[in-house]
Amino acid sequence: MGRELASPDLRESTHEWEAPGAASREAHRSPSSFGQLAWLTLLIAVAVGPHAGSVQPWVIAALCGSVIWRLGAARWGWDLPGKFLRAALTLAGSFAVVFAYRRISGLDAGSALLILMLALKLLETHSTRDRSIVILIAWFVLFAGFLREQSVASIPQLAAGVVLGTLALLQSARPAGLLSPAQAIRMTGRLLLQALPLALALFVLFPRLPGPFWALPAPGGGGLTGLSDQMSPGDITELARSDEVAFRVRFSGPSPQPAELYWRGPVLERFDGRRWRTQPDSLREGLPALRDYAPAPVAGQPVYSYEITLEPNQQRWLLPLETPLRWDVPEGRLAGTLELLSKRPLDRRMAWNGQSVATGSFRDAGPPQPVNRDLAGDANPRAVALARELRRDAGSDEDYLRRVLRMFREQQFFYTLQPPALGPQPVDDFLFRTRAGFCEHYASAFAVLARAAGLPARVVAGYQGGARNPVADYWIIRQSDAHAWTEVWLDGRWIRYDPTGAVAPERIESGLDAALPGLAGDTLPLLGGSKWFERMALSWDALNATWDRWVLAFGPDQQSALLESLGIQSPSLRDVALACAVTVSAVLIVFTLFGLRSGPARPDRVEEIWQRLCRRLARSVRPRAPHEGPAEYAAAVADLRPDLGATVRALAAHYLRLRYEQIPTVADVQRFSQMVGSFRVPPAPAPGSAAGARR
Amino acid sequence: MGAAASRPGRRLPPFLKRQVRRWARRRQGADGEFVELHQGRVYILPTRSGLVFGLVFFTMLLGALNYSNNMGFALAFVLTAVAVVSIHHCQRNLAGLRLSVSGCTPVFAGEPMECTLHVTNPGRAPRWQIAAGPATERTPAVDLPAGGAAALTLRLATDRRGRLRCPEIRVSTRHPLGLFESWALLYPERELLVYPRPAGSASVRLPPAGADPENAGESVRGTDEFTGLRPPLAGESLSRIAWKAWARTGELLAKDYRSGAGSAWLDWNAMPATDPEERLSLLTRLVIDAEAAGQSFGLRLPGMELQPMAGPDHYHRCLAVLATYQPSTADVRGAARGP
Repeated sequence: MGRELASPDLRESTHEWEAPGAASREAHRSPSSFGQLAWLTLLIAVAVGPHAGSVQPWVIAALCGSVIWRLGAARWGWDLPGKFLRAALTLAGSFAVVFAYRRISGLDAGSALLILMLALKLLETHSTRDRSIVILIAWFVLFAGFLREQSVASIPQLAAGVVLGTLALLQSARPAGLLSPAQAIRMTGRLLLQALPLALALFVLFPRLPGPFWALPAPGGGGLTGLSDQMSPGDITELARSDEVAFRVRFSGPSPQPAELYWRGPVLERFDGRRWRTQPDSLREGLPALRDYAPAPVAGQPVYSYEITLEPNQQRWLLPLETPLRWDVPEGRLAGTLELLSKRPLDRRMAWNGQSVATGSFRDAGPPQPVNRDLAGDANPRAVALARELRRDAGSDEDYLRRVLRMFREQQFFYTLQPPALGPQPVDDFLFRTRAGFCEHYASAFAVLARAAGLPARVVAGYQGGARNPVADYWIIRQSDAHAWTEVWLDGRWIRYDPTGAVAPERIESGLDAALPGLAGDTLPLLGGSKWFERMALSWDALNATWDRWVLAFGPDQQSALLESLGIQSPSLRDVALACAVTVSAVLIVFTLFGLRSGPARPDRVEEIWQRLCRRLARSVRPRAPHEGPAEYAAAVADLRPDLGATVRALAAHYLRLRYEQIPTVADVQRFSQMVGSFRVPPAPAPGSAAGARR
Repeated sequence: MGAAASRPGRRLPPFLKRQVRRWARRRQGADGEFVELHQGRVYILPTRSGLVFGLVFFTMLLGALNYSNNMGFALAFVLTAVAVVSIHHCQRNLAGLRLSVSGCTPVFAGEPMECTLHVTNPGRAPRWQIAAGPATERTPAVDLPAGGAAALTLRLATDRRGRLRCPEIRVSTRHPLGLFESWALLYPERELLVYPRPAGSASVRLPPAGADPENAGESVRGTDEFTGLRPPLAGESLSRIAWKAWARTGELLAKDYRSGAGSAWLDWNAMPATDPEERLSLLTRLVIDAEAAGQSFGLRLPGMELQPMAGPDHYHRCLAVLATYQPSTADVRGAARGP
């Protein structure tokens, strides 16, 4: 050989190793198998289920069609829509949502859009990535469902959504072949069990922020049901048709009689002849704030302690039992109108503790304002004339008010949820023509009659009564318990008069369905039906109340309380974040320490035997260089000791076979061990003969 | 590098990727024949799906914060926790595997070189979806039962002759959820040999056998006097010493008489081409043809001579010489003058 071969011309390769089976990006398709699609379908069913009643039926129909089409394509080889048809369907779907909902934001339109996206994406699931996008959208639909409803029923829904989604994701990431369901479920179970501590730590300690960053869209874009700062004839009637829960109350100690349960809401003082409205905020704030208003209870009067859990209603009234003495809402204040107001609208469930006496008179409240005498000019002239006439006959103001109540009771006045429409002078119309109305009609008429007689008066809206849940001993107050009554200024205090009680005393004593039994089936489906059903419904509500109280109500305050119980005084947001970071890091460190150890490696007998051979050869011939593979090493040994060559090569080949070609049986390993064990290195022959052998 | 890096499916820009690989290679060093993947060399990053999922989880979190929706929080946190736990599973799925490389036999330029990556799972837990090659999502992946092994074939495209440093081998997995990809880079301490691309079979014909090596030496006189001479072995027969050359230069060189009649000489200067690479290509074609014909042949290049022999060892030695031969500037000039 003329020149040494090893010229220093080692180049970097311009290419990389490729796997021969790898598909190019364009050709890359891992068609969704029926199994993968079946998991996806289950997930979609769980995620979309809660929306089924709220989005328009055609959206659900489109989704069902898409699911059937896709499954048919996977099972029977149906043709899937091409690119242009898909684009057309996407466009048509978006237009249909805009057209049907007249908007694209909002919970209903938003979830309809998401579900349509899900349906369309399902039609083009050709790769791992497509499938994971379907799962992602499904999870988001599930999330949107929680914005709609987060009762106890959403726990199994969450669990099913997470389990099925993880399973589907696991199977989607396997283009070559699915895991057996048992394997997949085991693997998912392990993942989720390990994830649970971390999720719990995050749930409890992740800093919760008070207040929304952006306005809350209401479902369907309409208003929430509940009281508002104005009342026209028919408003509360409307409300009474809803059996939505307004709030729940748990009394500690004795609870008042149902007839004593007046939950005080907006105080409506301004009257325009038809409509009652609250004072504007600026004026209400201007009144002497009754921050320290804490009337001493009249001797012998029971003081009721209670915890009240308000459903979010976007209003500020805290709805205490009349008359409130104490409340533990730091930002709550009693306005001059004796409304207990929180600082910001209730956009989340809120619980507070209070104490009240169950009377309807406020001794220490501020004096009446001119607005409390306003009759809106010459509106309702016949009512005003009637009032003056009655007052003339009455001996005193009290006597006059009693006469008015007697008029409601003794004349042909009706209590009804379907009051006839009223004309331009609604109070006149009501008193002299229709004589049929709901609480707001009576309260309004009574206040007008009081004012016309020169007595300051106002309408108070709120709730009256409630249903006691015997299962867990608390009261459920629904929108159907909404009520309106009147307050009249007499002898230096505001005194409650409830004209509805004069017309329909059962309403005050036993609630709406006692007063209007024919309507019970319509209005309160939950409370209609059999006793058994009623009991189930109440148990369900009790379960939900517990859920609300302990899980759903968890927020910044509970978080602070928890940290305070751990010894951190008045924790700031930074403390919470720090606690969260520390706990999560601790959990992760535990994972890394214990979870990441893959367990002791199985001692590899074949490897051990080979090492034994290598040690023996190292002593008598030469050690194996680190970069030498078995075959190379055997060749090198054979070069140095041609007499051993054949045996060593054979042993190395045997080793490679056991190592890579098959999973060795015990017998294989034993035979290999014997082969190596019986291998002896004879003393090296003389160098001359070695050279000769080499020739 | 450009062509390789612009291949779709890779996230990093080529420059950054080069840097990352250089860094990985520096910190890992070259690998021996057997590699056990310890955790320190298993890298992990989110996949594109993983990033999108992260974004959606974050959106859910914002939504839950805004609406103070505790079920929303629960969903977002459970999913986040599952993703975080899957990081551990993904890394653990790769760590501890034993790898070795075999194959890499030389090929002619333009043909793909094949190697086999042997993956053994020494652990008690099965390993899932192990893939070798650059893009995990498009590479067939294998499951390894506890104690199991698999052989994955890899191909390397070649375009030029020469010695190549073995490019890194990437082993990766996206198990369990496809949200993260963990991978390990292997830098086998190997040189890959790529023979020159053989010229078309009609472009050159085998020279007639039986040319005298002495005359062959004469025939190239003027270009390189010492062509075909080599340093003498210890105990070299006196008749083999090139005395003429010694007389001229005072340097003792020997000639090999073992190859004699019946051998063909494949000579650089006899090639009907001027470009050195073209000559090498033609010579390669002749070496293949001679080997196929069972002809004993010698190879003569400027500054280098392989005595005529036959057999696969000789064949591969000749091809290796052709693969790594570096024509000097003088040869190139000589070539420019033409044969």
